[in-house]
Amino acid sequence: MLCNNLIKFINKTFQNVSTSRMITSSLNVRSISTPVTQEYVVDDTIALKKYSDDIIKTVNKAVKRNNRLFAVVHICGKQFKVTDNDLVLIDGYWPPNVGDRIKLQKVLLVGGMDFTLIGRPVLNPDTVNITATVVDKDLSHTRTNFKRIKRKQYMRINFIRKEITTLRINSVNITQDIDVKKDVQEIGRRIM
Amino acid sequence: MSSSRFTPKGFPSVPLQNGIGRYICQLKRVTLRFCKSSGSSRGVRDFIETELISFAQDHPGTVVYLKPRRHKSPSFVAEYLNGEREVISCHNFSSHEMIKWLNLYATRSGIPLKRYLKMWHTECPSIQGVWSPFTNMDPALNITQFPSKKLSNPVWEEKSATEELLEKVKQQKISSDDENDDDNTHSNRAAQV
Amino acid sequence: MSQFGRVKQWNTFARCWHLFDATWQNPLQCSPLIEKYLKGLHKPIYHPFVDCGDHVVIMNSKQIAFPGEEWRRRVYFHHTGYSGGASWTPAWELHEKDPTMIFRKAVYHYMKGNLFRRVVMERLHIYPDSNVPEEIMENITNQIQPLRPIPKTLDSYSNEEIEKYPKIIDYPQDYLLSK
Repeated sequence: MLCNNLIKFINKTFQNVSTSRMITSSLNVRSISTPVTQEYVVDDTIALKKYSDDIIKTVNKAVKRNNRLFAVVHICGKQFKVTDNDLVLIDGYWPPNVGDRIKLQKVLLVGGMDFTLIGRPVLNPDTVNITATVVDKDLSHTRTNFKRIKRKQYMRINFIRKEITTLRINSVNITQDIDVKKDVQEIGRRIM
Repeated sequence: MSSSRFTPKGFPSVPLQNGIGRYICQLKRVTLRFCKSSGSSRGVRDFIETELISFAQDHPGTVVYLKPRRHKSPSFVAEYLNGEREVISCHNFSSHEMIKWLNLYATRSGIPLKRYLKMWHTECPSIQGVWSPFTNMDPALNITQFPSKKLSNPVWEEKSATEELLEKVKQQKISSDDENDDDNTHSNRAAQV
Repeated sequence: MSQFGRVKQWNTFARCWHLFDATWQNPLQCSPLIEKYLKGLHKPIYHPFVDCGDHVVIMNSKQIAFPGEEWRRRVYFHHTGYSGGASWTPAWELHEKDPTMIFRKAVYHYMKGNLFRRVVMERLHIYPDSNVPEEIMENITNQIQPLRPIPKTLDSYSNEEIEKYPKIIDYPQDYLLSK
């Protein structure tokens, strides 16, 4: 009688499982004996779009207030957190000459007091505008490159001075609304 | 090696806030001292004959003086807008080297040589506010009594087989009345599935 | 530094007090987590030169749990300095003598052996039960969530829960259970 009860219970569970609305993860291992469950997916694209549109509206408003913005900029393999009127030193050979006005293209992140725009990996250069002026081109302090292998009569010393370029960041601006996209978009590598 | 240890150290700076408006060449005066006849000044003399005028035209803000001095090694003195004065010997330089060094001293500002501790400088280091331990803390923690029950639970707890089965039972609403009428016992040591 | 600048510095480098309940937790598993808070690695302002670590208060260290045979197998070595003064104490014995020592040793030996270690261990406060002094409880602003789930013992089930629990089979009435 106990066995009968057990069998009835098992039958009942199997009957109900296939029609019930279960939120199962798709990573569960499915064996042959368990039946396939159906997932009910709720279509919430409209709600999500409204949510994102609201956020974009708020950010656009905040942008128009023209407060001080900061940006994370990628120059010569290094990243700097940059605002208006601050100095960045670039180590090594860099072609831009003294007095040149430059627009920095590789902007990874831009933020103000109330919002942050994060690029994946880079933000649209039409939206974000970062201008800089090369102010100074100098040589670094003398660095010594000393090599010695003990007991092998090998000793070398090399004095090196690298070029250092000082860049003054003039402005960090957002020029247009965030959600503006061009009708014709460029695909492929941009020529810097 | 430790020569860097004795080099004066500092942070990036630029005299006269150069670059905020327009760029201004910081080199105000170049004085070339050379000998008219000696061999060590040959390169300097060649430079004066060929490249000097184009150099002076390229740098309109810089004044170039020539000082022929007999029986002296050639050198040039660069003076900057912040008052710094640097003397560079051009002994046995070629005219090509002269161009190179003069251009370098023209692109420099008068800041003395130093080892940079940081490769950036800002006047406004924080826009969204400096971090404090309370910036991203849940404000509910202000009123919780410690130890809190909610935070005594582990961050992630795996669902045990017992819990999963209990959930399934709840969903199917199995009542033990109609099944186990005959076998109803109220022992504490219940047979758990 | 201006007065305002000093206040901002105090705000940023404020030393917080965290609470950790060690019931049913494995101290060897928890020590990386505790060390992280003691060193200050949970802060974005962390730098090894800056002493930005926080205080951690551990309570219920008497209720810690070791897996398997650890209580019997794990031994703690001590030498008095005198000849013949070596002793090996199993974990269960040490725990009886001083319930805070095992947790303290676990965290201490997990850390790197630098001069900073002693300073940081001063900021670790361990209590065998939930009686933490009031002065310390006042400082606490955060609780570190434990790593291991706390198992529910059979004794903790109330009679109601037991009766409501779904059964598919049950012992017959005349079945004798050993008590």
